[in-house]
Amino acid sequence: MRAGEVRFLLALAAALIAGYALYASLHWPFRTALFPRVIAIPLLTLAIIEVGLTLFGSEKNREGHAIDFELTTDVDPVIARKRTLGIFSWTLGFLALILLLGFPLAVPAFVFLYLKLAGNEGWTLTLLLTALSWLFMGRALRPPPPPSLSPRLAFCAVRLRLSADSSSRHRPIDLGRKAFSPRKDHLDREPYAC
Amino acid sequence: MFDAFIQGLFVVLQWKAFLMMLLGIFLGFWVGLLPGLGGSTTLALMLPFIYKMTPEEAFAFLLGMHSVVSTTGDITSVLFGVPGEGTTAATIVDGHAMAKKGEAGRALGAALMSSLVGAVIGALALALSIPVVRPLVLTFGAPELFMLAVVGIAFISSLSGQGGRSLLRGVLAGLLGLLFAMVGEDPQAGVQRFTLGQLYLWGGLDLVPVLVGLFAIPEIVDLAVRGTSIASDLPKGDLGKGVWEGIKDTFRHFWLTVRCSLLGTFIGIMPGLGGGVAQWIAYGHAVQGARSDEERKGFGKGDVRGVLGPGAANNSKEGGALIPTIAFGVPGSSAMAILLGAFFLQGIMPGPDMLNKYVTLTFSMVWTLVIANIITVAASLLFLAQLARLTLVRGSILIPFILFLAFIGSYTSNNHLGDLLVFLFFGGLGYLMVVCGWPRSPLVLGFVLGKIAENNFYISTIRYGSAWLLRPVVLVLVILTVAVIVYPLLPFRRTSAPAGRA
Repeated sequence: MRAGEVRFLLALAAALIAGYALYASLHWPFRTALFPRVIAIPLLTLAIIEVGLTLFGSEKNREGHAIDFELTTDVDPVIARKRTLGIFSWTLGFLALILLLGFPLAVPAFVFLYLKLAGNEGWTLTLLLTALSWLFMGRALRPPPPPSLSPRLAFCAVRLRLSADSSSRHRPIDLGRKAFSPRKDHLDREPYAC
Repeated sequence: MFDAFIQGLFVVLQWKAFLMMLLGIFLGFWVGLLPGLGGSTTLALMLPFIYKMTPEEAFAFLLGMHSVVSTTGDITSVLFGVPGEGTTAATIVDGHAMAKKGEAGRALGAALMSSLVGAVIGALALALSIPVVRPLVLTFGAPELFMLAVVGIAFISSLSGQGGRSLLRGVLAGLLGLLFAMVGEDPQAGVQRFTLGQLYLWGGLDLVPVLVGLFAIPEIVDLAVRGTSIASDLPKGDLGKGVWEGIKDTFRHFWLTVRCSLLGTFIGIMPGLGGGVAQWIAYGHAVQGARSDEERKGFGKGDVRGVLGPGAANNSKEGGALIPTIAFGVPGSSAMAILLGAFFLQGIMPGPDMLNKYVTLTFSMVWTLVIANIITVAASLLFLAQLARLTLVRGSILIPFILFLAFIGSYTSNNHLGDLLVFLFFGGLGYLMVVCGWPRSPLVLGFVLGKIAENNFYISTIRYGSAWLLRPVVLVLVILTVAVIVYPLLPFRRTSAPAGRA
């Protein structure tokens, strides 16, 4: 996908979000809907202008320069695209590992797999860093596990994990914000109930 | 008053209070370095430990911890492009760009020294302004605070790009940020907005996964694409050398540092705005200081002024935020709201008593801000060369650890799966914004200001109808907003340098 098409899609997404916000606000009482409308109307207008400029604007206008971080342009575009897809796949894979195994096992597993498969690092360094990440996650931090998307798989994983360390779920690393957002607190319920 | 000022110093230097401050600094140092572990969260976690302390020890401990979090948060932002704290995200834009050019040492030196200058100015402002600040704070009602938010977003939108097209994208990003801030339960009527039927979204989107996603994912992708270390293949010698250069930069651009510190202090004083806003306004001010469009283009690619501005402001805002907290019991930020709890735990009522009965304690807080930052900056400078060498570690080794820090940092905000999904969503959005040349800073500022702006807009409309638009300060702020938007579009500004990117 070319940069121009991505710009068009991003502007279109902004217009759609604004449109959805306006539509959703039709069903709310006035005071709830007031501010979203105040924001969504100019957002929709400007997003449509941006869509138009993306489609019909001159080349100079299509570019623009944001004072922000810029991606490297020194790498061959084909390789860059391949590596971009690769790192996004690894990121999603890491999420899948966290959901299946929980942080204490997922982190060392991810570190090991990434260093060996993506980084082509030597065995000594790979094993050393994997052990370090396991020590840091499994022994020092011990965050509570997130609820799984796949209860059956997660149940098996948790059974394995519990046999390795039965106490890891009971030592959350950070309880501070819970006092301020109790609705998001899932510690009181069983995260792996099938 | 002067006697109390000196006595305040001796209070902090008493061995028990000093020990507590050192303990606080140690905790704050690591909390700042680790992304996602917020200063406010840690402050809340530490509250139960102050029961048995005297007020002097308790505030040395809590303020010592809280005041250094932004200082060390800058280190993570510069080295890894991941915000160590929500209040240090703006340092990434130029600080991390400098690290990638092999100037990590210089960026860190500048960030640390400007942080120190900012902290000292914030503390001085606290010391000087307590007797005179009351009329200023009372001038600003809900309409003025709403307009201040609008000015902030207009300011950062107009300064985050070059020309009309970038202004359009900046405003779009700011408006998107405001819209994202509306996710969750409406504070006025309790109606669910944009929650997609998810319980997780009832409380709104959390700042930490949003920030970590927006800033960490594009950096990780870029690191993976380049296939090198953060500082590419630059020689090792370049890194350590820059530290003193960075320190000197603070004094080369001393007035910029002072102005950004004062901006940070002022924003800190305004209840509800906080460090998340201060850093971006200061960054915008630093960009505004560029004399030509060509010079302005250098921002985002590693201009040291882009490090000095936010570095100074995110530390000076602590002194500013303490002013309304101490003087009126009105917390200037969420952290100050937690600190207010500490006052009550110690049986102290903020207000006039803080200027009479507890005036020595008030001045001991000023000294704590100064001494804690001096100690932290000195400790950081000792290990800076070693820290800067991390930018020479191969990307393939760094990526799993940065990803792990980003995931764990996001997850610790609520310990919920939703945090990870929000992190990934905003990571994807941040990447697309970078690809498309949309600035991310207006989105962040809009998101930070959204709830405050809505609340003040609602109060203004209900209380004054449309008459609030005619209030004098509001009118001044409206004119300022228009000027901020129109100024970059003026013809004489565009003819000063060739427009657009090559």
